Amino acid sequence: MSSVVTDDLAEIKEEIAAEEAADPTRKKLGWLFWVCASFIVLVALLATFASLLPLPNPDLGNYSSVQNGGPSWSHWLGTDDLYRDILSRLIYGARISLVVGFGGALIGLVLGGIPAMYSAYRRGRVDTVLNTTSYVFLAFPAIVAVIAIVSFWGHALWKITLIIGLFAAPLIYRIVRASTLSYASRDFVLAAKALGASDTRILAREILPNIMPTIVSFGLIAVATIIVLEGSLAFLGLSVEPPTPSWGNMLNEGASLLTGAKGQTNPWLVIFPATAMFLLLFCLNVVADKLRAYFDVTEIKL
Amino acid sequence: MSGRRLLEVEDLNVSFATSRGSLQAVQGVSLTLDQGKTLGIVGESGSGKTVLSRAIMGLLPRASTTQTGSVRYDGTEILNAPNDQLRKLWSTHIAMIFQDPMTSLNPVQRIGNQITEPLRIHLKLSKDEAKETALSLLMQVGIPSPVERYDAYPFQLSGGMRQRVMIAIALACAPRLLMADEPTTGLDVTVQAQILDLLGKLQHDRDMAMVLVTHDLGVVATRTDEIIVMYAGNVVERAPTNVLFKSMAMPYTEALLQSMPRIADPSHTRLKAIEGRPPDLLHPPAGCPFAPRCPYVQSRCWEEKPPLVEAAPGHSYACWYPLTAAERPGPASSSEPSDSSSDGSSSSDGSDGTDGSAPSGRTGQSEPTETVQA
Amino acid sequence: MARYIAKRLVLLIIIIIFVSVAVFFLVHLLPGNPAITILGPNATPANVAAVNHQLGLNKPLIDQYFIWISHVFQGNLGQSFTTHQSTTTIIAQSFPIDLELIIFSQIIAFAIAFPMAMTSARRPNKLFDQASNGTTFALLALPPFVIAPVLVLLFAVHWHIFPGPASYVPLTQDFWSNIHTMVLPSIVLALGSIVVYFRLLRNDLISTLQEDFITMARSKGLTDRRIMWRHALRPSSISLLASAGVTISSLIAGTFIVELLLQMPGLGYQLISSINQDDYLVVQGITLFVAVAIVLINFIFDFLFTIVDPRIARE
Repeated sequence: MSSVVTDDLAEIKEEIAAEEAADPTRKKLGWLFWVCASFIVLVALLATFASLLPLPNPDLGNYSSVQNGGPSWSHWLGTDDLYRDILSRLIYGARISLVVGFGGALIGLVLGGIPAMYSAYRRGRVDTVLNTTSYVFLAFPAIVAVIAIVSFWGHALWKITLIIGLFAAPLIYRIVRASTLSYASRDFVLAAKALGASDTRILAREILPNIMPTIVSFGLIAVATIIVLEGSLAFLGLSVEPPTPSWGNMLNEGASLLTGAKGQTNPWLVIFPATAMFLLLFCLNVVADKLRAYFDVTEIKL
Repeated sequence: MSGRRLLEVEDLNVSFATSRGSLQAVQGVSLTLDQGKTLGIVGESGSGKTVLSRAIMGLLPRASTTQTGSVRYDGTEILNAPNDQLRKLWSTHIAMIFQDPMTSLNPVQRIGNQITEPLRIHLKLSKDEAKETALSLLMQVGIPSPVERYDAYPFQLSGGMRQRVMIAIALACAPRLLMADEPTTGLDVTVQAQILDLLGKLQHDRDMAMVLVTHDLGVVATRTDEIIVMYAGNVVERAPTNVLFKSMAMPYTEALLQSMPRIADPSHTRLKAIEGRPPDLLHPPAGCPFAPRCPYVQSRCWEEKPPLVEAAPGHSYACWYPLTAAERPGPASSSEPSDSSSDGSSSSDGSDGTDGSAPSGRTGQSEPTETVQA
Repeated sequence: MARYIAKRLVLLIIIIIFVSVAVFFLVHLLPGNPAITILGPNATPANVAAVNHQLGLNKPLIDQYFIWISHVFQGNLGQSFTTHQSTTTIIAQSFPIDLELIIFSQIIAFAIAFPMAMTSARRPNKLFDQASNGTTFALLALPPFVIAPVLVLLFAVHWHIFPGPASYVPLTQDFWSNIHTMVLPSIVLALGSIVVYFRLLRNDLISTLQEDFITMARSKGLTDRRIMWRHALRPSSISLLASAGVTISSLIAGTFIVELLLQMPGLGYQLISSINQDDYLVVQGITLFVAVAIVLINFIFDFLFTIVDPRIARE
């Protein structure tokens, strides 16, 4: 590639375009990435502005509708056992998944990631203690502890988010620590240090931008995992209380209806929440994976 | 020494499909090898010599490789033959010694098992028979106390011993053709000579044909019957060994020879590296591939690619302006402590009659150019 | 080699001690008063105080911990306040169900993941590989609580092939019925493992197959199958083993969830109901059991790791 030093922006752009055309292996995010990212954004928007949409009340049933009816013109996804509109519950239920997912991941990042950066950078006793603690923490099946705590403490949304975030922290700690360590000993960090930069400044300006790709893609995986955790809790009846909808407890209701114990079956109450959950998780995973592949300089091309 | 024609390669072309286009690794190579004889293939990294040896054997991955031409072993065409046909030949007729024994031996398998594996599969020996044969092989390749080493893992052996184990594995089923791909690169200088001597002795004892692939002219000088010099995927010179050293025709061969440091040189003599880089194999140049680096280059060299012509019996080269007797280097020609930027100047001293440089026994030369492995 | 094992053993003991402390304090930080559970909601404060004293709940926490630990060493994990069954009995009865579930599901997972990975690795990025990569990726989005109801809907309700939830039959009672009830839960649990095993093995096999010693093995005239099984698989299994230890934690979590989803009377069920009944001794006992089991399994995997890859033992 010829390197021509020029101020002409157009020429530079032309060069880049030519280089991209000549090298088809150059990494792109791909159409799948954008489709999935848009889906996530769509779900987030729907959930946020749900109250502005012309949806029937998700919590109260409309007795003039059919019970456990399938998809129809008045109820696009059908109704559930208590005469409530499934579509509406699905959209409102997205709020729970998204809040717990992103909120929990954020808490985990703050509680786990920030100490990780400091302790990895400074090393010393604090680092050893924290590291061993995280090992012990991770030896536990977190779900058991979460179930226990939530059972006692209460099912409020913020409590659940907090607890899950707390338990996500050790894992995030380990990842961020490993990433920070790999950059902390590099020369450009030493250079900044020699210039008299404070630790915080170094962490924020030198190290953070480099580990950001790892954090973002791992963070999205964490979101997906947390959503699964919340969904499992909800299925077990340990998440938000009825009548508030969440995809997990909708699945729970659907599952209990399946066994026909109540005399009716409603497969739609299983199919739609399951599909919604599947799509959201799938898109999160795709976005996380594509981001990781895009930023991973060391990936081997076969 | 029976003179049966074991290997015949005719106009072999090998190209790889890459994302940036088709890479011409080997272009139009032909050679022959008789039983009991040794052929040396010399070239720098990227010259295509390793690809050539693997293509002859049939070890290249099928998926992205295109091979055309003809490779005949003992009369049978084996180029692009199906794998099950090749497997009948591998190890029992043709065997290969690989370059780096540390990565070429299975790191989690004991060496004894690695030797007995082909014995049990191809020769159908029983477990005990195979072990006996393996122990005797270990002795033949000069490994002391073979019984103790039998159960060792590769990482427990030294580099030289690992290479001997590789030789033992290759010879296990008594092949008739041995391909040795850089068998001594990476070994200590003293060990290199031992390994080469060992190979020579085994070849003689078993009347095998051997192909010795290396970047080091010193290795092939006294141990081969015929030498092929490769550059950028082409054969640029071919001659019986002593002819090559006495009357080399290619400027490239001359440059290779001159880039070798000599023991006789005074200390701190500058190494004469060949300037420039090998050409891009994705877009082979129209003219002679060596043109950008040739000290004797003329305008015709840039425009037309010289064909390989057999100028004297057994001696072929591909050059428009082959070296004259006056231009050829003699034994002490490169001992001038000159600047390494010596392009355009031929180091002639008029003495051409002496045997090329007699670099026998002196091994471990540095590579003429970069050490990126082929 | 022996020194290496001894070092790890010491580490193991330290971790187990830490874990027991963590379990103890976790349980005791939870609100809830077992005395009320025992006596019922109408308990008078005097009675509650008496029971507290009887149970030793008034002593300082440290003392309580040591009392508990000493009991544990004698094999006494306490008993349930409600059913009066000893914890060890509860564990002994419910644990086999989880064990069977784990074993079944892992067998299924290996049986599917291994051949899939080997076929994929032979022709990377070709059709089969792309299909399996895509499928496993999709499986990531199908956690147990999503896939279980769907499978029940299809196989139990719609097609009546397998029994639905709450239909567990113990192995000792009827072999075939037991297998019949185990299929759906095992499949649900296996899915997650399939993804992990497939990915790991495929990636590792692909890089192993590019190594020099594989080319050398080919040149020895060995068949592709032999090369795959004898030469490529072993180094690759090593990384599989390495990560198996890490996944055991989530495997147990998954087992509990599947158990609860499909209403099987395993440890998870016992744990939840004990928590709901403030049966803290049982909760402690079960949690300790699970945590120690996880640590032990990790240790065993480490050990296996050493055997499979002799280079590690050199340290």
